[in-house]
Amino acid sequence: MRVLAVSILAFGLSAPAFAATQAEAEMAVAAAVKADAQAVPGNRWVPTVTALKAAQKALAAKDWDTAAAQAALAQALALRSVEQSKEQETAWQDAVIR
Amino acid sequence: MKIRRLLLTALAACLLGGAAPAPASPEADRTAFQAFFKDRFPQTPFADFGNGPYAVNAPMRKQWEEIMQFPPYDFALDEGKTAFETKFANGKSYADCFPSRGIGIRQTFPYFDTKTGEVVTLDLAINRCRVANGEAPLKYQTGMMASITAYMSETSRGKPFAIEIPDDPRARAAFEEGKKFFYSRRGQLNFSCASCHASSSGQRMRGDILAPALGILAAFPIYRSDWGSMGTIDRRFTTCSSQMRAEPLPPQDIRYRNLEYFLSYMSNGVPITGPGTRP
Amino acid sequence: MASTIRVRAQAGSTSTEVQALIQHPMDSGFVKDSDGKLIPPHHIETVTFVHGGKTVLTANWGPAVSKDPYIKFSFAGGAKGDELVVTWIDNLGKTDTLTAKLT
Repeated sequence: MRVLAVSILAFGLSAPAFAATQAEAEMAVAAAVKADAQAVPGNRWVPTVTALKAAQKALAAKDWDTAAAQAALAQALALRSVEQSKEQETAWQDAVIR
Repeated sequence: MKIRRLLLTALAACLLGGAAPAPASPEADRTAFQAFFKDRFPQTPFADFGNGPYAVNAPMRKQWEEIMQFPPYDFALDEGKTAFETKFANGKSYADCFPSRGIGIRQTFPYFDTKTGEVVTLDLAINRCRVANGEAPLKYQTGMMASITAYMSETSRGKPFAIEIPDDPRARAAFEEGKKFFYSRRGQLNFSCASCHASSSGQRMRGDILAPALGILAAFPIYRSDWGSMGTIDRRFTTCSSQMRAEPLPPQDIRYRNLEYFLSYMSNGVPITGPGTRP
Repeated sequence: MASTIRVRAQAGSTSTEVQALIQHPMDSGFVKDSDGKLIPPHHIETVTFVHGGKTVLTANWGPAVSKDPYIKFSFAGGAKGDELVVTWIDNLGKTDTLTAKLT
């Protein structure tokens, strides 16, 4: 649910409120790529990859609005996946059948 | 008074000792694991746990018994037997790479190779055998790899899992890594293997019955109706990851091998039921 | 090459139970591959089971039957040692046949 909330928020903030410029779109995509790189290999989420690819494709097609929106989504998902990995470093112990 | 103080101190120690407890021995883990599933499924004989959903759901079992009169993995099994018995270009064969000529040994895989310091699965061993004899490695997950492992599993049908953890800190670490993987949540859906195959085992996930983790690898490789083809343990690990919306790791990634090591050891004593068929 | 047909035919006192598993892709022609191209139709159209010169079953299959089809049926008569000839023909004109002995 948190993911949904964050991603909706991110999408809402970045999309129709303004028309994104090329610079803004490029920055958003760069931020998303950086966040994705942090996602522990093996816990990259499938929707992160999908959104990132869509953002890069939109950027190449000069669709700044879509690129910025998808990049914001990808970044939010990537950051949440990094949080998940950090939490799980210790949280997994609680689930062990003893 | 003294006893009360003692009890209070003990209680305080328990509450304050928040650090993760030192890992129990693998044997203790296995005993607890097997007890959990025996308690959860009291009607299921221990030896039946290798049959996944069919061991814990009566109507599904009935359908399965019908299908097993003419198992859909038959074609792969024949193909695998022929391939296994065919010599390589250099005149050697698979039998030269394995103990007991490769017959009746599936239940000892995966094992920890103390020479290379890593877990070796049957699939990996098959490809290492091929490469060592000048043959190209097979693709994992399906096709000929599934057919050959199907044949090797068939020769072990009924033999109980007998996985060893040698007295080597690296082996122990591999086991603990596999255990951690099993219990860690991952993917956008935030599930761990345990979420479905321990806490929700026997329950439905859409139209499927979730198989208990105990013995879950015993039936591999499987003909899965969903796939319309054979699949190895790798295939199931990668598709399960995607279903949790976590990017799958490459087949035979060390983390998958460690997971297989953990799951197989937990199932020691459960007879091999592979190759198998699943919905 | 191994046969695509597996048959088990058990003769009872008054009837014979037949089970057959056939290896065939049974492509309907409606499914697309990973590149988005339609996989052309390739499915069995008829399967015949012949015992003692008489056709005991003709199955008219098509795109609705799934991959590696399995069939089970009974016919009157039949004795141990009799022969049962199973033949399939698909929409591309390919065919295979197998002669099995009743057990």
